[in-house]
Amino acid sequence: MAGQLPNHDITQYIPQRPPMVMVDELVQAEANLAVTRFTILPDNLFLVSNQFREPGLVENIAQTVAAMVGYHYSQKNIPVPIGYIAAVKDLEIGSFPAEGSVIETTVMITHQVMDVTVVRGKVEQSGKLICSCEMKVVAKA
Amino acid sequence: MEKQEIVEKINHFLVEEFEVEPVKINPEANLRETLELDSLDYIDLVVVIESNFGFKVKPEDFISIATFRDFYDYVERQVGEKVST
Repeated sequence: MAGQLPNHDITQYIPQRPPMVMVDELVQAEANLAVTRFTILPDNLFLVSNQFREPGLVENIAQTVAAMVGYHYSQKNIPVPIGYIAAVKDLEIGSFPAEGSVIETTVMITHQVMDVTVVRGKVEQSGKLICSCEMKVVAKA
Repeated sequence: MEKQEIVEKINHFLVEEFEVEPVKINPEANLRETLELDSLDYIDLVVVIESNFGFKVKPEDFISIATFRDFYDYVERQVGEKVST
């Protein structure tokens, strides 16, 4: 499955529920790449002084991975495994998006080693890179 | 790729990525104990090998690797197989 996706309720693909949902829309889902979009509303848990801070950005990347995996499993009618963040490496944050911002997040699977999926994630705001990292996610069925 | 080139490449990423002191890199030294590898470090090691040498590492391959020399030999074999296929 590739390209633009219909605007489904993203919670069908991820285990998180409000107020912990940090992605709104799965924009693109390829075999090894996914893109989500997220609007940072005023009641977001990770806003500090109107800035969407580090935990929110990392959670946003992790939930983009979850949405990609959840989407592909749901397409095959297979129960979606629960994923856990095992490690975050080389986290770089250029700026914190402000309340009301729309961010677009891309994850790409770089390696799969046993149950561990290694991804590169990046968060952009208006086309500008604001955050990137490598993340290891462990999936357990 | 020559064996010496493989050894130098491995030693380089062990120092740079895994912060191993160069003096501790000895062909007969125990790889796991020297690198103080935990399970996530193994994943990093697999990622670095695959990225640098272009072959897929099977987790079970590590069972037979005890020393640095075993590690060099393993990578050399895999690189050789990749070239011959």
